[in-house]
Amino acid sequence: MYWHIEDWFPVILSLRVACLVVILVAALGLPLARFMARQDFHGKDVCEAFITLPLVLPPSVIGYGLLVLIGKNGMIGQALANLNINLIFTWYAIILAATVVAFPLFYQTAKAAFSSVNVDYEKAARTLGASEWRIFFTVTLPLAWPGVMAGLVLAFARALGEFGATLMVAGNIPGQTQTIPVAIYYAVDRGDDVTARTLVLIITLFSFAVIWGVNHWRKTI
Amino acid sequence: MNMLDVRFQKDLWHFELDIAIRLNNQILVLWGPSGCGKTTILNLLSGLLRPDEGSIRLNDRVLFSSMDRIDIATRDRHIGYVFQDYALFPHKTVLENIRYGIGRWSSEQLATNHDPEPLLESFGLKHLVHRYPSQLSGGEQQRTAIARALVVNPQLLLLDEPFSALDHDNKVNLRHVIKDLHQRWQIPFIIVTHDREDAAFLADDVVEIERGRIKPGSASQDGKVHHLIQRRGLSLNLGSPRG
Repeated sequence: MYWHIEDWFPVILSLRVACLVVILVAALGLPLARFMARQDFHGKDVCEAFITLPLVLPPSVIGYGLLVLIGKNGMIGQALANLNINLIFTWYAIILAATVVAFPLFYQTAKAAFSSVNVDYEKAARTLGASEWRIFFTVTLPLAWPGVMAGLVLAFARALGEFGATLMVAGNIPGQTQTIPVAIYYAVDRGDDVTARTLVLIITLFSFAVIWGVNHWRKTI
Repeated sequence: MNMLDVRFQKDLWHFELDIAIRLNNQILVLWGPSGCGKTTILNLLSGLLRPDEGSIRLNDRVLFSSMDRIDIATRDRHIGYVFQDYALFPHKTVLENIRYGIGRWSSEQLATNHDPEPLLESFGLKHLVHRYPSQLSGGEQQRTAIARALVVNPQLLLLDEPFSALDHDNKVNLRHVIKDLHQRWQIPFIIVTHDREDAAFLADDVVEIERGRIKPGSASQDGKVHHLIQRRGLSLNLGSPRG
């Protein structure tokens, strides 16, 4: 058996998914983490527990939950079916599954980073006439940036490695929904050592490079 | 003539704050032990905290009125605030810190009113503009914080324990800086301190705060502070308890 050009598909798909998930997770997670780091309200603990839940649940539980929601007979799935949209067994389902599992990792890290920013800086900016948006982008986010960046890397890595939930909602369709972890699993299953070994090498080297790069960057700031 | 007219109440955790102050272009020192509500008064004035009841007028503007449901946001109050630990942005240089408040103003206003150059000059900060706050001495940080608060042309300047982190020489030096500034800017200053010497040197008026109330006439055993209270025509209203 040899490594074919179409065997690159899982690599490209996984990277695309991981990049998109990072963007999604940042767009949703930054405002939420900022809000939760600064506000106290009734029932906050329950909210926190709910947001963090995917971090500790088995991926199969998340996969099942997503199937219940967006499957053919699911609450959201039925509504989407009426609009002729199907998510199950498409790469949108992969995005969804990876976002759900990566989100709590980013959220926790970003919230800790925001909490560590002294509120006096924000207060001072307020007395200097800055709007809340300006304060966020010129004071809070730059000061929390190392932590936020760490959260993004964690989310990227988690999205890249997502297996269980992805398999349940997107299956293993070569050339369509086959990500690196899924491809490795099925390559081993059918005894295709070349593909398995190559993919393992690629994801290991890539992950190593990302972690090394971030650690290096952290030392320079 | 600049004028501040304040009367407000706020329920705090362990006591009720109830304060009334009228102030012209003077330096008012809020004096008292820690935990008596001095900093809270500054936070209420600047809009970082919201009074339960009362009103804040500065010159011809109503900044807060519980009756008329007015509550001007902190950023629109034009009140300079020098925090106790200065709160200089650690990721910005001295110049970036000082220019931060200018950002929202139009370039026209900037040219006429908000040129930081003379401020930098008079504060002896010109050679430090590209340094970060962590590279400054305590006194330099303090001067940067005051310059940053003044560059937006505030109508009132609040200083929270401005000398608490300074050694004696710096402290004496900065007292003079603040006194000079006040002469030049002609706006009311409110300075929080628990240091008797600072109060005696700086104050046109002294108000002693105790558990959220003004204690009239009994400011301290210190002759000068006491004398100042007697001499000046500051209206000291003993806040009346609610209910």
